[in-house]
Amino acid sequence: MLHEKVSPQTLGFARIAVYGIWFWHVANDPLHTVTEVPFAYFSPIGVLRLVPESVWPLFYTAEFLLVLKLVMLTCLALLVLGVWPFRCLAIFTCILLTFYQGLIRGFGYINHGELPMLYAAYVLAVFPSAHALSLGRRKVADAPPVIYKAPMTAVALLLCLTYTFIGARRLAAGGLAIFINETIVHMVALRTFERGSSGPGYGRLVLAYPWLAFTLQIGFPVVTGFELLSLLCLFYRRFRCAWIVVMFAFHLMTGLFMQIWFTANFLLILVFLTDIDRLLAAWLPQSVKGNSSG
Amino acid sequence: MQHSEWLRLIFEACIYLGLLLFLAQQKSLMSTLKALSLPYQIFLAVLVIAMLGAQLIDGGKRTFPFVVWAMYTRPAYGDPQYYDYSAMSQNGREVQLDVFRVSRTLSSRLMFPLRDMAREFDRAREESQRQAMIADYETILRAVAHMYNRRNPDDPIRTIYVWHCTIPLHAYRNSSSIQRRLLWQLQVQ
Repeated sequence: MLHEKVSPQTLGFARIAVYGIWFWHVANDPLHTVTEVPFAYFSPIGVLRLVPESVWPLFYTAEFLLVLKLVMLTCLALLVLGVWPFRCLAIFTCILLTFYQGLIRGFGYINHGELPMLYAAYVLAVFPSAHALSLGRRKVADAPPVIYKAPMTAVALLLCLTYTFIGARRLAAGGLAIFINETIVHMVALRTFERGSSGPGYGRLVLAYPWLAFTLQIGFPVVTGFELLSLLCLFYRRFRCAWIVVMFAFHLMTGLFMQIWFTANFLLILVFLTDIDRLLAAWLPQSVKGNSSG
Repeated sequence: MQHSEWLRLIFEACIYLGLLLFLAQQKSLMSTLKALSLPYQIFLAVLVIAMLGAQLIDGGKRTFPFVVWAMYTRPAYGDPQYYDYSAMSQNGREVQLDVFRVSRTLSSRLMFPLRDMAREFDRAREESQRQAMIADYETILRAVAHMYNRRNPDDPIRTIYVWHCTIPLHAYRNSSSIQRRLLWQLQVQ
């Protein structure tokens, strides 16, 4: 199985990667500008509905969101460093991140972009991911190895589940018709001209070159099949290698042709769906030591 | 719930049941789970159940942060249609109004609802309903204009044009082959 042996250092590396990318994301997000859209257009979703309605006008101000951003950045920086008290700080940060992600999705469209990263943050907050590669850490006495292995496996599983869900829903709702007709070319054309994150993209090439459109049409069911079977990645190395190649190609295509860049997923795949412990063992000699003594 | 929705739900639930049974048979996974203390086990179980539940009940807005994972699930037919935005600035310059970029943090989270609103009022038959939709739509367009003007105070936009565009999927030559129809025009203060 993937992550059969995980050292505290590997989990520490995962912590730095996940909270580090969150730090980068929050730092580059002009969150306070959200309030330029009238509050009447905002509707709280999910757990944000627990916030009393009377409080929202206080929250929905540029000043509050600026403070929220600064608090998140401070907390995330501390989490990257792994300082004490890690778990309390991590859980508090996860609540803030959930609020932040819910807030920006309260305008009528719930995208997926950062959600796998959010789930990874939850898992790393609960498990002891600051036992290594952290500042001012205290000596950890005989923590069982499973405590490091479980969160790595859990995030890998949750990430795979998201892909499985997409594949299963496509098959269940779209049936075979979605693969037989020109749905994928239709989507590429739409996302090419509907302005997105990275300009017009290269989607118009798909309209200009029929062989490219044909390749996408062939690739669409293949990707869906891999998505559906994503959970196999946890147990079969060869399948995982093939899956990573297919998914990287798929994400590259959606980025180039459809202007949808799943940047966070690239990182999550690299950290949680590769034999990262072996790779890190070469860089961090204590990784092996920590593993065997755990 | 419609008949087709029930079928979708049952089909999807069967897939997940099969996958859960597969997971349950993996000794290494189960032994990892069993070796954890109860609070950890509960935490992980809740995460998986919440994700699964949100997926099956099509929750999204009710169940955030657990949402529906569905992308490109319906077959698309005909020529793709989208909405494009341009504007006339105070100095008489015609500019492309890129809602995705202008709305920054909200990006697609504002662009897609705006598209849906345009589609709805474009298709609405009842005039009172249509007027209400247009009022909402204009409010958001004004907010977009406000965001643009804050970043371009030297030459703010004064009029927004909304174009309904159709891409001829089989007869596409270049961007000039896209049919553009003026859907809406809005004066901005």
